[in-house]
Amino acid sequence: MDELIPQHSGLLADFIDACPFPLILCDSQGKILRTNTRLQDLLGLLQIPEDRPEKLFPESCQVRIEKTLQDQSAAFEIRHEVSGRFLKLTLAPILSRDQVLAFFDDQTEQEQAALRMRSNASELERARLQTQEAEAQLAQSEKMALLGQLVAGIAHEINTPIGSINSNNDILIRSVGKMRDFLNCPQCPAPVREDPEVVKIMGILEDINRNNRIACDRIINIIRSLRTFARLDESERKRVNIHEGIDSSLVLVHHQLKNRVEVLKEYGDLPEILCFPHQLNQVFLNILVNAEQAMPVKGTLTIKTLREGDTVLVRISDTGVGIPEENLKKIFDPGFTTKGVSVGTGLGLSICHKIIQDHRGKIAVDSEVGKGTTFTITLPVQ
Amino acid sequence: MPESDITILLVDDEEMVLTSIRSFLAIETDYNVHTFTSPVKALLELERLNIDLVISDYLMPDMDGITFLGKVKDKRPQVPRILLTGYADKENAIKAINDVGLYQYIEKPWNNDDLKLIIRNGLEKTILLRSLEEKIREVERAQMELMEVQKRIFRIFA
Repeated sequence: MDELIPQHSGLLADFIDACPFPLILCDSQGKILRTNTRLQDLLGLLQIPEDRPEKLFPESCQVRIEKTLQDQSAAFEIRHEVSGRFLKLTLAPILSRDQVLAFFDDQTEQEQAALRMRSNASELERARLQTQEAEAQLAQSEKMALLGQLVAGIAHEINTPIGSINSNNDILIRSVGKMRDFLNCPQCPAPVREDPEVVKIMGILEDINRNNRIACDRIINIIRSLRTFARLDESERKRVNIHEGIDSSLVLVHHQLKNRVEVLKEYGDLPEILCFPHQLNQVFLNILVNAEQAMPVKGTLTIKTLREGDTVLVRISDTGVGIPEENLKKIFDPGFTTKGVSVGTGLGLSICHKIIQDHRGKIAVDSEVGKGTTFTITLPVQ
Repeated sequence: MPESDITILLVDDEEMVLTSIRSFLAIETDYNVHTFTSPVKALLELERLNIDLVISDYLMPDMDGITFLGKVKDKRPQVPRILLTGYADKENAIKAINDVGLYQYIEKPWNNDDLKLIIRNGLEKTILLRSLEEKIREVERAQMELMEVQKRIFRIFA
């Protein structure tokens, strides 16, 4: 290569050879005039093209070399495709000779270390998020299990006294009926039958008995729903009619819906499905509570169920405020909430998502701001 | 068989349940009802009384209803046994029903009309069994008399 360097350049050639950095001398066209052993070491087994650096480096190098000759030194980073090395290239023009010295600094290790660090950091972050999510879900499911036990325990405790009251009320109704029969029979003296006090008391007794019957029925219905909802006696997979679960969840939100939200049930003919009933009930309750909170003034809640081949579809729609599109994507993310600390934990829907996933089902949301939101749950029958 | 000849044994650790069912049966039927808050005491009484039907709660402190009704079965296999259960122990109760061979189970909170019907149907079974035994005894008696007559006839002609 010596002959490529014009006269009086012995010093430059010596410099290039002696330089402890990988180095190339090229002309203004990028034709390699001289390299040193350091560069050959750097690029290892690679064959260095004898003529043009653009064979060694990308096209843009040529432009840079020309630019360097005009604007003085420049530094840039390139990746040598064949060896995969990541190199920092510093160009230094020798203006008097119209040549360029290119110093190479191998930054592959640093680059790889940085990459590894970045990927470690993001893995760490992912792991941290996963741990956080798992912890939150564990806490939530522990809370739900505890609540379920509490609910089942209370329901069981109330069962005996309400059973007794209910039966006593029935006895009172029968007794008052017998008294009424006696008053109406011919043997009963008319003054007794027509005594205003007797008439008044009989009327009151019949009224409060009727009233108590309605009250008892309602308590019994609530207890039945609580038990159906908690279903603690059924920790294993079971075949159930999910309408029972939806209805029991509806009873639990009834006090928040009444006089404000109209509930429309469009139940299809569903087969019993194999599931963890108390988990699914948790999903139904969650969506119902969300729907209720989305309709602060008035609205309609529509629950539609239908069978589609081997799956069962549950569609819960509200006519509430709706969810903006940017939030829709994050709605199943753990910790995402728009309700503020005191209202929601932001865990409800992420847990719903997990429960439905565990059931090999799907949960989807569709919403329009100002019109309402629809959750669609698809569950396999088996 | 008149209702006043019928005796029912009722066991529940909750006095209020006993009062409710006893009052209901008193106003609607003429059955004699004996109530116990302890199944252990009820078993002692079982020796003395001529019982036609037994109703028992499931969860009780000194003996559970299934065990109790099992012991009743040992002592009086013909007597129909009815279990009164809360919902929470329904599954266990159903399993036990098959082991002990119960006539029926009633869920709490119970419906009085259902209770009356179940008791009546249970009693019908005992009454039928009892009258069958009665008939068998009558037939046996008639046969004995017949044999007696036969012997006398033999003697006369012998």
